[in-house]
Amino acid sequence: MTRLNNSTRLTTRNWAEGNYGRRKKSVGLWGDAWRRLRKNPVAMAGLVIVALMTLMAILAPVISPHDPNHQYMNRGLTSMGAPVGPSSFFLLGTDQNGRDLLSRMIWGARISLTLGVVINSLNAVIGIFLGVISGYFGKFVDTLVMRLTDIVLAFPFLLLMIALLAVLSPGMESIIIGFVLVGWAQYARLVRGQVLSVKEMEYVQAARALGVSTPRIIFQHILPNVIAPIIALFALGVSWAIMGEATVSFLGLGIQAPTASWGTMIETGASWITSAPWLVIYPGILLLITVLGFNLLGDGLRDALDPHLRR
Amino acid sequence: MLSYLIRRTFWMIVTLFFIVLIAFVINFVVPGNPARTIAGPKASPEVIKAIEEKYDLNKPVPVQFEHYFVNLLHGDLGISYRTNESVNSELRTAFPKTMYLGFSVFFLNVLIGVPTGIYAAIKRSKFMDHVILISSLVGTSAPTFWIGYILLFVVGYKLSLLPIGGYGGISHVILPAFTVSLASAAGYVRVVRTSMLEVLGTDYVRTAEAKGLSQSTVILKHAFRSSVIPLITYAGMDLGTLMGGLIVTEGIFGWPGIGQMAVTAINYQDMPTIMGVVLVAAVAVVIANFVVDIIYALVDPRISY
Amino acid sequence: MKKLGAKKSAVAGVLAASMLIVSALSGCGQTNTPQTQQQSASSNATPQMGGVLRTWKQYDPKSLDPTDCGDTDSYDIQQNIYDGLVMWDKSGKEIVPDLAAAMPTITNGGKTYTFQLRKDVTFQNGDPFTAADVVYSFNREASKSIASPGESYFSMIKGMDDVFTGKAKTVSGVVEKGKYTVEFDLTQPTRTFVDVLAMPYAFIVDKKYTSALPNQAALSLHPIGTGPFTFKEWKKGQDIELVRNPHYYLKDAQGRQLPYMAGITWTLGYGNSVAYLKFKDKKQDFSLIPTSDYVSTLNDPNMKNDITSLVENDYFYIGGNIKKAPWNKKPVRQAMEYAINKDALVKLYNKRIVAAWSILPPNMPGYQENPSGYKYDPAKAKELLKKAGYTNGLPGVHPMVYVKNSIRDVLAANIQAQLAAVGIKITLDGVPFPKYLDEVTKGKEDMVYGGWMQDYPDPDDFLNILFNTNQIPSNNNVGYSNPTVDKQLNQLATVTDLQKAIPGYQAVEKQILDDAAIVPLYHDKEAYLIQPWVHNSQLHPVYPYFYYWTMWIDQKAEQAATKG
Repeated sequence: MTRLNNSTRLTTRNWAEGNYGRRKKSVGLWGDAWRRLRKNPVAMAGLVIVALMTLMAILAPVISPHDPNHQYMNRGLTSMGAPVGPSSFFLLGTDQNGRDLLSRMIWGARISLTLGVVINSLNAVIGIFLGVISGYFGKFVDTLVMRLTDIVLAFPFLLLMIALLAVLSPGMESIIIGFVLVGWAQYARLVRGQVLSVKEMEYVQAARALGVSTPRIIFQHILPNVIAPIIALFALGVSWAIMGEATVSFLGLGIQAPTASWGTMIETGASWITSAPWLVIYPGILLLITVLGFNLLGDGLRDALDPHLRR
Repeated sequence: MLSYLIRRTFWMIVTLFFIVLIAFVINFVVPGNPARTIAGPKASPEVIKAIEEKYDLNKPVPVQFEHYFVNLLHGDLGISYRTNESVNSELRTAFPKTMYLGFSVFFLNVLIGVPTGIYAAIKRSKFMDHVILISSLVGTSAPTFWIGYILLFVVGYKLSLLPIGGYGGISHVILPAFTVSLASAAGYVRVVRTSMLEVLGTDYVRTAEAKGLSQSTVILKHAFRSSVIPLITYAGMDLGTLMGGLIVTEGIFGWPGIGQMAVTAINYQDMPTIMGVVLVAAVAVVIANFVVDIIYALVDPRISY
Repeated sequence: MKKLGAKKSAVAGVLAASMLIVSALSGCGQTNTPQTQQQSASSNATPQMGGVLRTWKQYDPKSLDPTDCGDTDSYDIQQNIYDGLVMWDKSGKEIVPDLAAAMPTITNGGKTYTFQLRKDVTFQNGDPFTAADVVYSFNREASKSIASPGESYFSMIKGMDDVFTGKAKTVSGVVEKGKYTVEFDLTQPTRTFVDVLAMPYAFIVDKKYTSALPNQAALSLHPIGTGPFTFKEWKKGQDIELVRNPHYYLKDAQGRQLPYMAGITWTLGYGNSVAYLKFKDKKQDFSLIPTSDYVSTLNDPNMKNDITSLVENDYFYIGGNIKKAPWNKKPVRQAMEYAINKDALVKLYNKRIVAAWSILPPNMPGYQENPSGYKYDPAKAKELLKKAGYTNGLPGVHPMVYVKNSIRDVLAANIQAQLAAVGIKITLDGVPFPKYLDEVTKGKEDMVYGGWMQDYPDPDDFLNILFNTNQIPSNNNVGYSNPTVDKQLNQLATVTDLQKAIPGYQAVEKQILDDAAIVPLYHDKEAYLIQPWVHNSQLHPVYPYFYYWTMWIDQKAEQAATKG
């Protein structure tokens, strides 16, 4: 499981800050960040992976060689009903239903990425909302929100998901509900910290003194400053959600058949690991690469967007 | 400091209470009738009624919660729907085994993380540093269950180097511990590397170097010592994630800890046991975080509360 | 509830959700006349004494207390520790005396059963076995505080339910008529009474020992019975050890003391794939065959002889909820009968199932291959839908609920595609068992993909329980109701001689299928691996897995094989 939880909390600014060199002059946060990112080959590799995966998900109907749900009962299965290996017709072989594995992997990217993005968008919205009010208003609201965050983060994530999914019925909605119930807390905590530090900056103090309304301060001055770390967390969050979905699917609590999802593909394929290993290996590698891509990108972004590094 | 300690303790208790509440709510929204699940479809209404009485299921929800909570205060987690035994006694057997595996993972993480982190810090921004960065990210990105099966199949079966699953001494613990560690050691590498870099840049280490102390002495005496605290705090915070890895891994390798208990309980929809495991694991995480915060407050005078 | 539980779970998937419970009756056995293929040499050689059987289970059993024996795993172990008054013979076709000295004498128009007990039996702790233990065991099963899920199997015994509901203190229908004589009084003649007595809930426990336990739950951890093996130790999540009971009363045909083996050890806690690897590594004597290795195992010259298999007395089906439209229209239901190519399912399951055109499985008394003469004919299915007024297929999308696991997902996806081809659109709703029960036992579902496993081999256990109107909705999940069928079923249950009842059951089965109450899909064909040095290891049709007390181990062969 990706450690969304901790990487942002303690593992400091960056890994290879040596790469970035020292900028003499600031050219604005975004331009500066982009330049840093471009200079970081590892993060760029992540960006390329993420871009390719996104493209694959969007173009699935075009590039997928077969209908992902079509069951080739004769051509796609041996006489004993075992999946057939890679061939020119089925480039990566078939699955236990005689369906083309490659097509299902391509369509699976849609599910994984959609889930990752939907879950994290919801998390971000909830997290930003709670984080901002918590950080900006402080006091009682702050205590309440942060304690709630602590409680959510104190639950071992996977166990909570197991308990939740055991009582909800398996499926896309349940996974989204479950992952949002736990996932917002990271965003809230991050945003609150950012708000706290921004709040004390002179220009915000000045705006306050000038009597600028609270919502305006939040939207004009605070939120723009909070967006950067959120983007980094978002990338890491997508990798977390994709891996999480695969793991709960592996425990049999995942998405309903016959929808192609990498997690359920690996789970059902796991019973074929010795004789049709492609069922586990290819989706496993694709999962690994995707998660890795988002992790690399997220780490790179975090470093590139870290205002402490802008000198 | 004392007031911080009191406040922190108070909030820890509140957190624990809410964890219990959440776990109970999850338990309560179980679809269907647990008594029906226990008895099976053929059971007569009388059987269902008797089972409801036995497990307290016929009472109103607040009463059920009160019972559960009062029992919990006495340290009683209830009776398993599946085995009819107290969840406590089952946890008492299983938890130490999870601890055994957990500590083995921690040991491996340190064994891998510390030297690698130090090495990466020394080779900062050089080729090897990047290799370590990338391989640690690959390790983090690999699905634990996937790695588990592949290790088991290749090392355990094909090469016959280590036992194929099961509980036992060092030879049994290596594969499952390594499976979990593959994903979690990366964090240790980072922490060590980062704190090393910070310390290596400070004046007193430069002074020490200037005094002519050898590099290894400097690293061991000064730099490494200062990364011990971040390492411990990181380990504490990593506990929640570690628990997740343990659940999956125990299930694959047949390690009779609380993770396996949870997996079995899911298969039988044994809610008291699922709750028991969730609570024990959550409490472990809460306490670990508490200890981490206290240590942090103690050692870092810059933090004011 | 008959859980197809642990046995199949391993077949189906590597970890997890595979606890594939089928909705069902609550006993634990499964019955069949053995269609057993077995390694050749086993039965002819002379049995040797000694040796420990090293077997395996994925999960810990639920309980070692007979009143809580609701799953195959518990039954598998308990059958070795305890005995009942009667038992199934080795063929699984006939019930023979066990702790009873002879089959009961039946008087009072089939309402009184009198058993003479064996006088030479002691419990594993040395306590003598007497009629008092039998009376105690049935009272214990009826006890309200124990709340045994199997109590309702014994409702035909006078006073059993009264004790359970607290209306009476002791079961009036189980009477000690002497130190070695017990009489059972029934409320009405019931043919299946002896079948029920062979179930694990009717295992006999030691009155003196059990009543002295500090709490009744302790029996599960320290079980004592009269059976062939004595309980030694249960390390949760690790293993369960039984050792030979030297005072077991049964002897083989040559007069040798049974059982032959010195003990049985079940290692616990790891999944099917790992068990299979351990078997191949000769670290384990028994294993299921993972899906992935099934085909290759069949073709492996070294392993194909280690396979033992059996068609089980269960059946799986799909059905629409007849209480709801459009399934209330007979032509729609009949269309489904023609819509499914069952051979495709058999292929997808790697031929580990056999296609079903009837409700009763092949090894069940009264089996008919295809009473209503249905066949796979999608054109006919479309025609029938047209006849019902649906020219362009059924309107709407129908969710089909089933207990989720990886193999059911595979089959359900195929059923979905096949139904779509004739114009019936469904979505798949794979859910955990409790959720499934909640839907189907309340008749809430639109469509169901379910299964049923016998408690004992009697057509009553399938037809009466699944299709009688009085079983709606708890077991008659599809809501089938036909007064003629009800009347016949109620009458047939009281016929004391099964052979005389069979023609009646066959007529009922045909009627149910003519009405297209459900679409039968398949019966399971289980296949396991057993090491060649373990002999007499045919799968038993009723007891889980084996008839352990007649198995024996060729220890020289074992040593030779494991050394290399």
